Amino acid sequence: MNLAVFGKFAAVSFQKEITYRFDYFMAVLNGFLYIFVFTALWRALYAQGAGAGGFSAAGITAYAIMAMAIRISFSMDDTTIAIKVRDGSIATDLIRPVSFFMMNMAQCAGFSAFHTLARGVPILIFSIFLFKVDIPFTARGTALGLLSLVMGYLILFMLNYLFGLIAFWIIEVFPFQLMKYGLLNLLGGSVIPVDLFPASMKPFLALLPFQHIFYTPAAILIGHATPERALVMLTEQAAWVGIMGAASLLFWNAAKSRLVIQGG
Amino acid sequence: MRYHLGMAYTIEAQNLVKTFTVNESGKGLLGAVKALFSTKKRIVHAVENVSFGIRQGEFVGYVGENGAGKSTTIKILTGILVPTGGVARVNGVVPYENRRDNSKNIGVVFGQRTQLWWDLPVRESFEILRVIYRVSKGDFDAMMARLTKGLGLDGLMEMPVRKLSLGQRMRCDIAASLVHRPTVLFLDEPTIGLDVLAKENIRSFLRELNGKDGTTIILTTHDMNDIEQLCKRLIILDKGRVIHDGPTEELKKRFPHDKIIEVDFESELASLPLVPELEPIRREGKKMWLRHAHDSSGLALAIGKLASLYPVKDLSVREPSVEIIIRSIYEKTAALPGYAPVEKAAK
Amino acid sequence: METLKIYATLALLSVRARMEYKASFLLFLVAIFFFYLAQLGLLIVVLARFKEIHGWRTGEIAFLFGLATFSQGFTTLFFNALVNFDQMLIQGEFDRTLVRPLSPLGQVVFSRFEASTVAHFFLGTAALYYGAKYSGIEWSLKKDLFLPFVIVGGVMIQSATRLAVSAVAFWTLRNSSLVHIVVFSSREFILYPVSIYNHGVQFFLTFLFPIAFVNFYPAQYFLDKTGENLFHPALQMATPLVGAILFALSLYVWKRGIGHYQSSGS
Ligand SMILES: Nc1ncnc2c1ncn2[C@@H]1O[C@H](COP(=O)(O)OP(=O)(O)OP(=O)(O)O)[C@@H](O)[C@H]1O
Ligand SMILES: [Mg+2]
Repeated sequence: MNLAVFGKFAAVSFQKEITYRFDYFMAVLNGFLYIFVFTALWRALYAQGAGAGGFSAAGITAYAIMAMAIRISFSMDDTTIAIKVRDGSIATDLIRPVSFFMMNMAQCAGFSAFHTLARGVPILIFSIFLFKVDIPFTARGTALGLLSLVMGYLILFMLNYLFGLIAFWIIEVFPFQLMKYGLLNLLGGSVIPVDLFPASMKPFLALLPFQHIFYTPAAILIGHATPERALVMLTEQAAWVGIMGAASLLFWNAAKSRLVIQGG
Repeated sequence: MRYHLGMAYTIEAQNLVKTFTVNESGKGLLGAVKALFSTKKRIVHAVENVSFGIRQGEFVGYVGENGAGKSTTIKILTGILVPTGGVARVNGVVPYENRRDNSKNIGVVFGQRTQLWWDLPVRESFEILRVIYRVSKGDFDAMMARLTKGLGLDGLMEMPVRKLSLGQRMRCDIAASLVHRPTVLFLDEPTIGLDVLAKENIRSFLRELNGKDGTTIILTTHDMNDIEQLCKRLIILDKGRVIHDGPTEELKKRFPHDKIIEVDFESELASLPLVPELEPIRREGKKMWLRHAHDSSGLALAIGKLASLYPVKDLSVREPSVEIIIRSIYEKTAALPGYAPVEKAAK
Repeated sequence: METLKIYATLALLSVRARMEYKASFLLFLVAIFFFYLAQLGLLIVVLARFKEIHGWRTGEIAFLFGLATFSQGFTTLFFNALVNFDQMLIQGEFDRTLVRPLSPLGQVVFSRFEASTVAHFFLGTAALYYGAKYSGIEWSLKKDLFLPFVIVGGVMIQSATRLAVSAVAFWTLRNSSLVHIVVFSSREFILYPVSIYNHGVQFFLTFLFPIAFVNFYPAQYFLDKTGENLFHPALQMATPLVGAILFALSLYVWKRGIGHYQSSGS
């Protein structure tokens, strides 16, 4: 898929998102609600025991805001594949001369681009002023952070993609999505940074990609991860991008071969 | 046949008006961004001053082009929408004021979407409707037996609705609208997307329902065969206004001696200036429908002229069908009453 | 009475329909269970590290979780269909409820009874039991009697908020984002004691969007937590009243919504 086609798909879904302004304002509100909840929670908790997980009270607030802003920016419509399989319109996608994977990614990118520009960034900037957080800015940290952000996005996209492909086997994918949300909330780092998990759980967490979706980019961007640690995390993240990519390819081939178009 | 105040009609529409307000989103990306913060509103006049009266036992075709306002009228008569102006009554009940009373008297089918429960076997949907309409077991069984026979529902009852073919689903939908034996039936495009056989099946059932039970039926459709075969009366709507209301037969009589010539040309032609006695009323690629409005002796001559002066590939002569007549009405090539010469210049 | 019987039959039919796809039903059950377990996992991680949240110990937090989850179970049981209500409107499915001799709301609600909420009940009961036990609640006749009222009140509050936001779709057509906030995000607020928030948020959760009455205020009463009276101690007993008022209000909004829909067509 060339860049122009990718851009076209992305632009279309960007525009689709923009048409519903009521949804937009609600979604902005939703983002702030979460930030209110978690900054309040951390303030209360760090008043009891500062320093937990290597965060200061200010540091954890910065983390909460950054992680939530990333989560908002990473908004994706993870229902499209399932809907297309159910109503049979997946057939039209398959006969298009573009890669299904890339087309989905383009659509997701457009969707997320809208949420990044219209929600993630404004909410981040606004919250930084509202909660007077101080995010140390270094060129190197920011560069690594942005790289990590891209990889985190890819991991989340592929996770959604894989869960979406389940629809080729089981029509009702919502239960799986629900389980995915549960895991993502718990382990992704948008709510609790991995540092606060009991030490005994950390090896288990390393076996899963979730922490590299929100935690890694957020920790790097706010300067919580030391430069050396950041490099290690980035390497792990890159490995996960590879693993998920391979899984996507394998899974897609399996899905294609058992394509039964439903409905019609 | 037009609407007269004070007569006993089963369905009456008095100066019905319905306008919608639509928010317009701007064009392109920039327009869409702007639309986040401001909206342009547009008024759509879906129904403008529609009046008619329909008596018990009539079978009325309600036709018009896409967007003419047919579904909107049906929604008002079934109590789904409140009109912006005017009054509607069905069996003396104002539908949108007494929705429940009205709903007991009427059956509704919207061909575009099902009223059945998508994931349930057909039988369960009927059972739910039986409960909702408080139909007794005995009445229900009797009616179901009739519907099963009349609409050929054997073997469908245990299927989940989502697995039915379009034709099967439509038959079930029509049956579902009749579980409570309504005296008035509204059918909004019940034959949409069906094959000839399925249409025929449904038509013969409706004919019987109207004939034997005396059920009053309003049918909207884009299939003129439905109209010709079923509807004794035709109401034509154009851009929200009634432009014709009368017996279907009468429409044909408006063109008593006319013949329609269907011609396949070798190439696409814009007009036929050399044969002025044949009037083009419809054009579809290389195909053209021509009207000959004089006595039949001139017809042979005109055809001869046509064949010698233009590259005719194939040609047949017909009586004007309702479809052709209605189409010519839509396209304003024939104004009513009577008809005026072609206004529309060839492209 | 007759109407009640009709609704009961509808509810039964919809449960039976749900059971037709046993595998899918079980999968749902497992998924819901899993999801809330994960949510509980968050609390557990936090409590393992910090021991308490703003003076609320583990058992007390479990009690909060239990009240919220249990009443959410009932709410979902009845009002689950409302989560996708805007789609019903957009696709014209709602229209058909208007041509039938039964309340449209009743048809929407009872045609999709959500039996998978047993997961909520199970988790909710477990959390309530555990919470009550480990926080050492001193039960009294008054508390025993008050508990069912609190549950019903909580259900009414949650149902009312769902109903009201669903009704917004009559005006805006698409409202999934709002429903999302009210149904899912709002839960996030009440997983923790409301006293952790600043006064503005406390005011909001008490008087404007009063979900603090679902668990926080009544839990204060049951747990005899007198240390942090927000606004007024009487609020601890107010859940049933708040529920009744909100529910009546939301029914009114819904009615107005239908009226608007019928005149605007969208
Ligand atoms: N809810 C609505 N909001 C805004 N405009 C509407 C709404 N419903 C219908 N319209 C508009 O009103 C007009 C009439 O629509 P209606 O559905 O009644 O047409 P119709 O005759 O049934 O057409 P079709 O043959 O395509 O079914 C159209 O221009 C349509 O766009
Ligand atoms: Mg229509």
